[in-house]
Amino acid sequence: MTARLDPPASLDGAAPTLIMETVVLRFLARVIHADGVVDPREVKILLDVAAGLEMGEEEARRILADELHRTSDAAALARQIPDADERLTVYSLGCAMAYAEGTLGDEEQAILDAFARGAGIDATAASEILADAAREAGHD
Amino acid sequence: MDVQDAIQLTLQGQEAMQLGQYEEAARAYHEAIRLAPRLDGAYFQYASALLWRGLPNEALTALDRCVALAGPWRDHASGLAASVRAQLGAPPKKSKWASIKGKVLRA
Repeated sequence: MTARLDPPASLDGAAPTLIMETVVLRFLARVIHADGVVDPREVKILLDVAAGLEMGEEEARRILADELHRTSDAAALARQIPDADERLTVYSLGCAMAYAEGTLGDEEQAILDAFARGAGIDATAASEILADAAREAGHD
Repeated sequence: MDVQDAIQLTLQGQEAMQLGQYEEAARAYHEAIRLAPRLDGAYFQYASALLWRGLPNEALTALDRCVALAGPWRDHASGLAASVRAQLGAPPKKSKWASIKGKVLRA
């Protein structure tokens, strides 16, 4: 007997609707969840972000639930973004997210550092972007 | 026997996918591929889990392998790979990320 797997009739659910937005949402969730504690306020911020990314709420909740359960490698997420300038912009967004809760902790810093490494952002540029984010968040 | 075991692993992967546990699903599919490297559906499902995990580059590698095997999943894999490549090749969304940054700062 030959064993086989039959393909489905449709591709519904085979992939998230928005590929790059999924990468970014996971990165932001990784940053805000760096301390490993699930805070309802953090989840609300992430769902607001997902809405801004034009993701459906159910899809966003599935992605976030998985990310909070099994965290991603920030460097691997950074490597998914093809455009170098876009990687800088997303890193800057991650820095803003790190300051959304107040001060920048060691855990958030480590995740931002990993993303910067994966994105090929040098340490000087990364520090400048982080300092800009701190200023914008009123932490200078 | 390895193929039967591999199919059993893909069923475990599908259960994990339905629960939204994409990392567990990806691991099950990866092991299925290890046991049965010509089981084309396992590559497609592995790619699906990777896409949900936010790893489209790795997913494309699996989809391309699925297409190359030229089995019953080829058309699905080809279609999904084209869709993913179209999104990855779209113009950068820097203005979208900047808009989100404003939202985050206001939060």
